[in-house]
Amino acid sequence: MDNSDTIFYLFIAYTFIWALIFWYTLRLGKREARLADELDLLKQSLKDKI
Amino acid sequence: MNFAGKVRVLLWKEVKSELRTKEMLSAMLVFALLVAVSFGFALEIAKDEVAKVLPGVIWVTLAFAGILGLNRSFVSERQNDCIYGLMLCPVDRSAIYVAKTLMNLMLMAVVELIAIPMFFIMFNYPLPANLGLLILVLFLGTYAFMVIGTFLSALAASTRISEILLPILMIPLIVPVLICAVQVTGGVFSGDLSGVSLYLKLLVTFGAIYSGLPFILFDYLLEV
Amino acid sequence: MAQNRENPGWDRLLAWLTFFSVLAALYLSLVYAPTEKTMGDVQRIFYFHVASAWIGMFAFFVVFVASIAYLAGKDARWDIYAYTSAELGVIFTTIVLVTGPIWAKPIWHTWWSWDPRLTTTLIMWFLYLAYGKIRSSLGEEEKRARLAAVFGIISFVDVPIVFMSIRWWKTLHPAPVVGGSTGFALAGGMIPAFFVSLFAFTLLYIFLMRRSVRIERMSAEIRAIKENL
Repeated sequence: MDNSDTIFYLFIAYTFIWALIFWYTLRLGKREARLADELDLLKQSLKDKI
Repeated sequence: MNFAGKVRVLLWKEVKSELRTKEMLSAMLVFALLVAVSFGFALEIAKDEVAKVLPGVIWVTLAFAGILGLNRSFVSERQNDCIYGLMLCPVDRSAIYVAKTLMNLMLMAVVELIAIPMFFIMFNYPLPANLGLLILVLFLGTYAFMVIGTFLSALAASTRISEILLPILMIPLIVPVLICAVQVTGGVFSGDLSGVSLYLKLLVTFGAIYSGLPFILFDYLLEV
Repeated sequence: MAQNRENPGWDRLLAWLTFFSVLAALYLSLVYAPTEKTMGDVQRIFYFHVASAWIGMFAFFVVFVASIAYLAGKDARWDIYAYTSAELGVIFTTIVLVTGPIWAKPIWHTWWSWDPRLTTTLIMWFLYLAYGKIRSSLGEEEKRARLAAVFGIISFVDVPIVFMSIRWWKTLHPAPVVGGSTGFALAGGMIPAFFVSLFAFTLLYIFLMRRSVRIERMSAEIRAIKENL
């Protein structure tokens, strides 16, 4: 097997793995930030009411 | 009344309501025949290739006809909230499940009785010599996918999108059953029965697992 | 609600530990491990492919256990565990299903083959997509948790079959590294690469799991406040 040929497949596979994990972590972070903002807003408005 | 008696009463209710409308049976039958016709002219296969293709065609048709019927199996109980009436009956919830399963098996039996001969006629294929084994595998395969299918149709019926959800839930679970059934049916057609016993055992195993799990879990499905 | 009970210091430690073990795994698998003689460099996919497969199956096992626990006690905490673990299991199984064909193309000269291992893994992936579909189609929390738990138990039927498929059948897929009779032996330098990759993915699973659970709790809290208003 020609080595330079298979290294291309290796590159694609590793890129995919880490891109997917990075995307998932990023999505979690965004969701967390959004929910934290919403929670703060709700708590603030609750406090204002009382 | 014992469990079997209760099941008999519930089954009689199923039969009566089906006989009144013939809604499920007619849809399943027409669908199965339409698929047979579509495959017939879409594939246009040479005679010696029929033996390779026909088992798969038969089982895919049966599975889809089954899903079509199952879509109505519990959804029909949602109309006028009939399901709550059923749940109020002084019976185990699992009796409802058993009665529904028996009804669906009977429907499939009628469909198969008419559709399978049609396949042989339309594909111009002679009846295999080993009819007993063909009937056995039809029974085992249909049983395994209808017991789990009835359960999943109860699950899907509690959601807003049951018609879309049921195939998505059901097909991955019945693929192993279909693979085994196709292998055995292929063996019956070609007359080479060497590898058949393993797949028959697998079919029995799946039938047992797929009837055992719903029996335990059905109570949780119909909680209010 | 069990909030803020966990120490944020632990989470930070876990995050750094995960980060450095991932770096170590990358170094060991790409540089340190020797190049396999017949397959060449593409064999290096193996380290993360197998680690993802194990973690994916483990994640589905967690779904199974959490589903049983939920049905037994109706504690919403178990529902959150089941859901987040199913999502992570799908992510890791996606890695398996994509890296597998990429490895197979130069080695088998085909992307895909319908052998038992590949087929059962694909079915497993579809099953847990369906699990997610059940959840997204139901609004009421109690009903969603209950129906999802029922399906989480049923869908686990396939997972042991995936795990055992290369042990039961002679498949095209390579034999297992651990617990197989004819598994291709790992050369000396490959062993640390494999186990550090597995360790890194285990930490990654725990890290992502804790984070998702925290997020789900936050969203449950928001729903609770909104209902009170």
